Amino acid sequence: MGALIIGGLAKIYGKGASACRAVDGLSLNLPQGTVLGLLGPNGSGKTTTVKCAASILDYDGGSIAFDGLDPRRNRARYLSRLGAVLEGARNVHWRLGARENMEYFAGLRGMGRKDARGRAAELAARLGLEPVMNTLVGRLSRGNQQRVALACALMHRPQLLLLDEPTLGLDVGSVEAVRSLIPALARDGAAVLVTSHDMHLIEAVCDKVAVVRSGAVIADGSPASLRALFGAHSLRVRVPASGAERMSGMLPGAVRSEDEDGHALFSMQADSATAALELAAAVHRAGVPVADVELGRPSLEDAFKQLVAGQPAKETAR
Amino acid sequence: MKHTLRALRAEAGRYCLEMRRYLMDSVASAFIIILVLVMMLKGMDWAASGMAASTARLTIASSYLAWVFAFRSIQAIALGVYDEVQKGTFEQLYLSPLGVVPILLTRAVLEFVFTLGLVTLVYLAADALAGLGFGSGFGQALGYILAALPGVWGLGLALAGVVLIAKKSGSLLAIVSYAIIGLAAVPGLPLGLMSFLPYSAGASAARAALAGSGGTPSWWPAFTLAAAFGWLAFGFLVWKSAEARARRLSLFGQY
Repeated sequence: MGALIIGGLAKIYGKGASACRAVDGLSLNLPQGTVLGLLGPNGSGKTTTVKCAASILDYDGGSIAFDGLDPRRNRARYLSRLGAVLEGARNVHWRLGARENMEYFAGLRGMGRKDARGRAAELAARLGLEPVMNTLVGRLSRGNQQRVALACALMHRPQLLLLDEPTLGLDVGSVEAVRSLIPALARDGAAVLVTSHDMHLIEAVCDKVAVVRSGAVIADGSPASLRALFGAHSLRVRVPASGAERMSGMLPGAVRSEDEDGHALFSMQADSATAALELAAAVHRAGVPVADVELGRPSLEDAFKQLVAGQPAKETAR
Repeated sequence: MKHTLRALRAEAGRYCLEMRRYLMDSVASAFIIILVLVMMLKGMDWAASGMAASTARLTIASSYLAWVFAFRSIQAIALGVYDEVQKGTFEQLYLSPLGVVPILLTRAVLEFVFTLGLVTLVYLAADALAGLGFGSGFGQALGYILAALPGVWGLGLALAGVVLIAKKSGSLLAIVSYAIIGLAAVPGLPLGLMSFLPYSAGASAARAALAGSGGTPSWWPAFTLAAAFGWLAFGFLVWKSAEARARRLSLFGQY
C-alpha cells in the first residue's frame, strides 16, 4: 500500500521584504485507504498544499511523494495515479454532456473507450447522475455539476484523490452524496485528502484531521482525539455585546466569536461537567447579562477554534 | 504509447463533438471568410486593371487563404489555452500524464484538417463568384502551407505561454491573430531576411505555386520545414519557460 508523504513542504510567494510563506514546513502522512482532512482558516495554506500535491504548483522546499513517486521526477507516473477536484464545477467542460466529460477526461488519462463507458455508467449510478448523463453540464444544477467534476476525477480509479472544498455551495442532498462517497473511496483503497470549512463533513468522513495555521500543521490526529484536546466538556455562553468586555476579562481562555444578532459567543472547554458548571455559575455571580448557556461535549469546531486561536492544548492529539 | 494514442483520440473526439454540436459557428465562419475574399477581389477589380490587377488579386487571395490556416492554428492553440484558463478546465488538462504540449499540437493538427476542407470550400466558392484565376498549383501550395505551419504552431505555443502568465491577454491574442496576415504576405521568396520569419517561406512558395510561376529552388521545401521547426522549437521553449513561471506563481486557474 502506498502513501502520500509530504515532508517539510515550503512555498514562498514573492521575494525579499514582501515575501509570504504560504506553506512553512508542512508535513503529512496519508496512507492509502485513509481520509485525511485539512482544516485551517482562510490563507492558512490548505489550497496551496493541495496544489503542490497535485503538481500544478511548484514548491520551494521539502518533498512530496506518493507510493515512492516524486512528482518532479516521475510526473507522468505520479499523475496517472492522481485524481483531483480543485475548482469544483469549473473543472469540467460546460459545453459537453456529463457522459462526454467523463469519457473525455478518462481518455486524457489513457483509459480505453470501452473501459471508460463502463466506468462512467458505474460512477453515474454511484453519484446519482444517471438521469443527467446526456445533459450538457452548463444546464445542470450546481450540485450536479460538482458531482460530474468528482466523477471525472474518479474515472481512472485514482489511488490518490485530492478534493479542495468538495462541498462548497452545494445543497444538503448533494453534500450528503459527497459525504457518503468519500469514505467509500477510501474503502476501495484510495488515499483521500480533503480540505473544507465544513466541520460536519470533516468530522463525518475523515479518519485523520490536520489543523493548519500559517502554513504549518499545529495539531493532527483522529477527530475524537482533537475534540478531546481541550477537555471532555464544553461550555458556550452567549451574551449581549454590552457584556462582552466583562466576559473577556473573566474568561481569558475562552474563544470569542460574534453571531448574526450581534451577540458575543464565548466557547471554552473544561475537564469535567462540574468544572464547566462552576464556570457558568461564576458568570452568573458576576452579574453579566447572559442570553444563552449551553453545556455539552466539545465539537471539532470548538477544538479547531481553540487551536487556531493559539490556546495551549492539555495533551497532544493522536 | 497505447495511453498516448488514447489521450489523443479523446482530444480528437471532443474536437469533432464540439464541431458537430456548434456547426452553425463553422458555417458562419466559412460564409464570412468567403464574403470577405470576394469583396476584396471585387474591390481590386474596381481599383486596377490588366496585369497589375491580376498580380494584386493573386497576392491578396493566396495570402488571405494562407492566413486562414495560420489564424485558425493560432486560435486552436493559444485561444484554446486562454479559454481553458478562463473557464477553469486548464488545471485538469494539466493533470493529464500525457502533458499539455502534445494535446495542444493534436488540436492544431485537427484544426489543419478542418481548415483544409474550409479553404477548399472557400477556394471553390470564391472562384465561382469572383474568378480567382489560380494556376494548377493548388495542391503544391497546400503542401508548402503544411510544411510551414509548424512555425505558426510555435507562435501559438509562445502566445499560449504569454496567456498563461499575463492576465487579460485576450485583446493581445486577437490583435496577433490578425497581425499574422503580414507573415502570410511578406516576400519570403527569394531567400532573404524575410524568409526566416515564421510561415513566410511556405506562404511565399504557396503564392508562387498558385501563380504558376515556379521559381522555388529544389531545396526550398527543406528550408521551409527547417524554418518551421525552428520556430516550433522557439515556441516550445517560450511555453516551457512560461509554464514554469505559472507553476511557481499559481497562475493556472486565474481568470
